[in-house]
Amino acid sequence: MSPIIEVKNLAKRYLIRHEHGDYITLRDKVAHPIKALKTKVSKPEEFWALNDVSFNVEEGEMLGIIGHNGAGKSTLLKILSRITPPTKGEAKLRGRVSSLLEVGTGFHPELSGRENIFLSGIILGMTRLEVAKKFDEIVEFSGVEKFLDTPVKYYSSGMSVRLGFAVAANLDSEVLIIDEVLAVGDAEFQEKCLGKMSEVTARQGRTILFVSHNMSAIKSLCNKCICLKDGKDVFYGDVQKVVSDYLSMSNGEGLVNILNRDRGYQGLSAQVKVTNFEVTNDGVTNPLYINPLAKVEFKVTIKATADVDFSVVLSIKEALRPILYFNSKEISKIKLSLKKDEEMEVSLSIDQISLAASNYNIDCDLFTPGGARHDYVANIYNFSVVSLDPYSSGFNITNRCAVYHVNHQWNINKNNI
Amino acid sequence: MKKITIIKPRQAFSWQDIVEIWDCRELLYALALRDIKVRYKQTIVGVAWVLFQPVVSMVVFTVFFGNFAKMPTDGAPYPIFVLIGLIFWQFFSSAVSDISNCLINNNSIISKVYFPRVLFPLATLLARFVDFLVACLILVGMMIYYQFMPGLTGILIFPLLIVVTAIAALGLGLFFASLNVKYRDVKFVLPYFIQMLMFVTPVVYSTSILGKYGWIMAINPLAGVIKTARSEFLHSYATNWTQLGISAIACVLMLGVGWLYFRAVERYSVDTI
Repeated sequence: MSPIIEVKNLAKRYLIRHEHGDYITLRDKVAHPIKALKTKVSKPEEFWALNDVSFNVEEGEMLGIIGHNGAGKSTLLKILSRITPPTKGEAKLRGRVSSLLEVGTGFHPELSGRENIFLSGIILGMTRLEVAKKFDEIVEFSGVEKFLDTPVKYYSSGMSVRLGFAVAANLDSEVLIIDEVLAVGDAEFQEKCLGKMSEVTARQGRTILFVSHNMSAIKSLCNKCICLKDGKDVFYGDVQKVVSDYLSMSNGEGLVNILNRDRGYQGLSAQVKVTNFEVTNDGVTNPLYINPLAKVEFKVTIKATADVDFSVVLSIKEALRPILYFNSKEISKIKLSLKKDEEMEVSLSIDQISLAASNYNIDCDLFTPGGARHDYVANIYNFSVVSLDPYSSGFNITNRCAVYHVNHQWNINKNNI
Repeated sequence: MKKITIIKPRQAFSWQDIVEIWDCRELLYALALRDIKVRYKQTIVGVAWVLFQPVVSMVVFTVFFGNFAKMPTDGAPYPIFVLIGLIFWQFFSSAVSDISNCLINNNSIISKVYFPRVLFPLATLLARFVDFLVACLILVGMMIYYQFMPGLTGILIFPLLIVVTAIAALGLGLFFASLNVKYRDVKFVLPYFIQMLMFVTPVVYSTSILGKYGWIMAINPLAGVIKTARSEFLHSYATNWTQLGISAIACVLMLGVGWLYFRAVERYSVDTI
């Protein structure tokens, strides 16, 4: 049997104009016909968002699409959902295709929940009859029964997201194209959506294309995976293999280099400054993905512009929630001092950081306890943990069930009564 | 049998497009319904605006052009004379201006889901057509009040007049909608343009004041439509079929140009908006 999706040498070119930052206005063309001609002569820069991508998807397969920002994932989805045409190549889709590039497509704030269910459902490709059949299921999943006749503009954002997902989850098409819609909503709702998605796909044998940055979601939902880099498909195949190839490719790119920017030092004394920050883990410098079971070393380079005693603080946060806090003087009683124009490197090393799978960022703070704050860099470094599986059982401890792991034993005593 | 979709670089016109629009007719109704429902939300009198607009214009024009300026009407009472012009004109002008903005206003949908883009203009046209039908009730009331009875040809020709107006509005609207995607000036120029257009359309006056040059005006499809409607409903003069023919050809040409331009723009509109 022929595959349900055939993608052959698909490519998409964008032309980037440097002359006009903004919209071209009619006035520009009318008032400066010569200039307008000249502008045309200076060729706009070509940018291939997608370059010669080919793959097939069999019926019932779930294909994950991963890659860095700007790798061409969204462009691929937009072409496959026919929102934008390709420049070259061809794609053949057998069956009805629905694309879910956002939650609540077509919602109108002035209309009631009931009206929006029908509107959005029909826009996403259902017939009125199909929406009517699924109506109760949609309402039940979204949990907005009480507000069905209230205009959506009075809904909380959580409610409209739930309603939007409920409509989308009940789409009946053979091929479903999904772009990180799960990135919205709270953790509990995300889990509910993931559960619903795997249930829907398992039951109906549908084909799904799923773009996400969430490697654990990709791993748990998909069986095949394609990895894009600079518009090209670099890895394709079994999901476990592609994800691990992707992770190793991404290492060495994790530093958020905000130190080079002019930081202004507002409200800071700047007597000592952070001049460099380096992370080493599992033999890699500045990894994007940290192995939580290998040794991690955070190295801060500090330069003084005056004689000063100070403390170094590193705090690791998940979103805005503080997870770990390290304070050289107040917790560890280490005295640090520098003379003017001296430089030092301070390292903090952790044998097993054991953080649950999630995204983290580090804030770095230099201050004199009881005195001035010298330097503060929020988000000096971002990293992710993809899987935490301390006993190699195959179970991934993610941020949905824990913050981190502590080593432990179970003791079992059987009582014979 | 499964539907097979082939995605390729942009294609030229194909019959497939027409079939596709037909397949999406439910979506067309849903979009038109949305347009109608949303338009008068948060207004005090709500849908009554559909009646207010022509009535208020009719009263104002009757006072100034009918009573003070004493515009010639070829013998018909001024209120009903101007109302016939107004309901067609308002259908046309509101459709043109709404269609012109429909791609930009629906950008959030256009960039997230695919269906033939031309459904937006068609749905807008449909919504304004419903407004037009409601406004026709006033005309019926006025016809009864002034005791005018349209002849059989008048009743038969009325749908044709509506079709000509709709095609002209769609053609011009599609053209401006496409232009609007590229040049945002259109949004600001359009209200003036429509106002100018009203002066070259015999809404408040009769084409008879133009004398023998009246036929030139027939190039404006609305002129032919309004003139024919007046002659058939008010029986003040015989219908000029040649002029109506010119108007019909003109509106088809407008649709052709508008449609082609729209086709050219819709494929890459997402990358531009």
